[in-house]
Amino acid sequence: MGRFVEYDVIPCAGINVKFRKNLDEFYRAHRTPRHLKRLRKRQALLRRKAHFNSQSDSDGLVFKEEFSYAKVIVGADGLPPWSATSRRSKSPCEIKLPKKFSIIDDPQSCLEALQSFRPVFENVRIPGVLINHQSTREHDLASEILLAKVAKNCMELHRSKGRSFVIDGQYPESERLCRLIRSIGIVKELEVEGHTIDGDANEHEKLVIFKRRSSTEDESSVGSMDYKTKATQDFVEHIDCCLQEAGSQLKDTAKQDLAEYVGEIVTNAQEHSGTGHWQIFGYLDKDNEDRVCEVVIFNYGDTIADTFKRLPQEDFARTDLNRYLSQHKEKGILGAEWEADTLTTLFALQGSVSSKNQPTNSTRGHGTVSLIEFFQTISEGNESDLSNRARMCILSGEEHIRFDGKYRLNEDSGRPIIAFNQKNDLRQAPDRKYVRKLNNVAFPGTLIAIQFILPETATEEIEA
Amino acid sequence: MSKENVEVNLEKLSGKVFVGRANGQAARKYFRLNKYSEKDNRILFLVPKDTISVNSSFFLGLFGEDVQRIGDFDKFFEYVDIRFVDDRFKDQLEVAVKRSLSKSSYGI
Repeated sequence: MGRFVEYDVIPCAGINVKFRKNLDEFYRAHRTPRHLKRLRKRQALLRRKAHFNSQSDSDGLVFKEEFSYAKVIVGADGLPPWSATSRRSKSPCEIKLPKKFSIIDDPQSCLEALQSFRPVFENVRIPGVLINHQSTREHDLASEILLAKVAKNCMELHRSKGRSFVIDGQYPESERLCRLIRSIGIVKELEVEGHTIDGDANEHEKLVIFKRRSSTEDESSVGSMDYKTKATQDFVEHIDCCLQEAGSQLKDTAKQDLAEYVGEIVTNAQEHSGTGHWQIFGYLDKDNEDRVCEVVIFNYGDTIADTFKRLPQEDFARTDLNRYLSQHKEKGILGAEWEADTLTTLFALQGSVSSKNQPTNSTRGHGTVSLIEFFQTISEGNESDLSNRARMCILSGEEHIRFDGKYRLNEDSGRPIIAFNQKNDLRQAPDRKYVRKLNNVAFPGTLIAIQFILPETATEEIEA
Repeated sequence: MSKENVEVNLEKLSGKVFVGRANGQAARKYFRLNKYSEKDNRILFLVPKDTISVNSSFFLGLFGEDVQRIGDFDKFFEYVDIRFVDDRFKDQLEVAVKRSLSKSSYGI
């Protein structure tokens, strides 16, 4: 509580400073350097508060919505946003990142590391965080994006309460990882002065990240491109542009495949999330001999299992799912070993399965198949090379499904099926290493991440 | 009786990427496809050369109702003629229609 509110009335130059809102007038009336300094400080604080509470930020995404989802990621949802009476801490909170900081390979450790932010969301008297990447040997784009988003929201919260907040960090030992963090990770997101890779001097080192997000006013139209169409087109052109700087370009078939992949995921995110909001991030490391490419597309809101759970039991789209779940229940797989949400998420990947299918129109449910097919195409030929193997994951709520080429889609029985077991049989339990439920950590929506090496067959040299 | 040819040329729409069921449905309205039927018409589907992608979701938004009504792969492609479409798109469109028409119970 500020000291001015302790007085009923402070008469000064004819102004009654009974309320905090009259303070500005009070400072202006006095105009001493001390009062003007206070006035500027107060106005800056009010601006930060207004930004924090505003309905949308400059990019159009509802800022408060992103803040609330960041709280879910760190496990601070349901708690009061901050406490002014909490004990003051002199030392920053240390966020120690795991050896494998990867949403694709180790989502449990990755999300647990992000939960270390929880005290900072609960107590605005903690002066900052120290993000320690030193043990990190592997990471992926998705984990760095989530880290940056959580840290940024945390800083905004503290600044909106008029508290200074310092984000300090230690780079990993690997030069390549350092470069990624400076180009696409938290350092870039927070625009840390002197550390981001920008400017012509470092152009050769620059790793250009592509990012787009949905607009709240996005509507389908014939005359102009909607955001998802534009994002898909821009992404393909971005990857092509990165390649052209190195003297090659995407073949037309590769462009079609990439656009099908990105377009289908973004469409699914828009139609099924309940919020209509999505974000896409991606890059092609053109300086890396292996041409590593990563794409992350996510939406906050409903998980895959949520969209099916909300349907009435007798709904057309639930018929096959209910049969699948009851079979597993009879066998004792569901309940003892598996939970319904995990199996529902797996079932949603099968061909022609969509929560929006109806008896009069059941042509939906090919988007997820398209993304798995894309993954299979680009992972062909490098299955034996563990270090270069393409990897993908679908993280939806607490459910995580990982792809590395071991289990593949099969269309022999009519519809494309991927059951994640040796016989590719949906009646049997899936491989727990690939389909699993996370423990006390979750992503509040659906995230799809892929990391792959652009195959030679996807590109051609530009003729001089 | 000969069938009347109707041209559905994506050149009339904007962009190089055609994605999303909702956009396909909007295009269906634009081309007034509900007016036509396989009895009286043949749709000539054309894709401009500089197109990057025609996604299956867009194509099924555009012709999903016809796929469902006709219910047969060959008959559908007799109605919607895609022979002038580049091979890289054609394969994907055929697969999308084939999958939409497949009936199986996933072995469960």
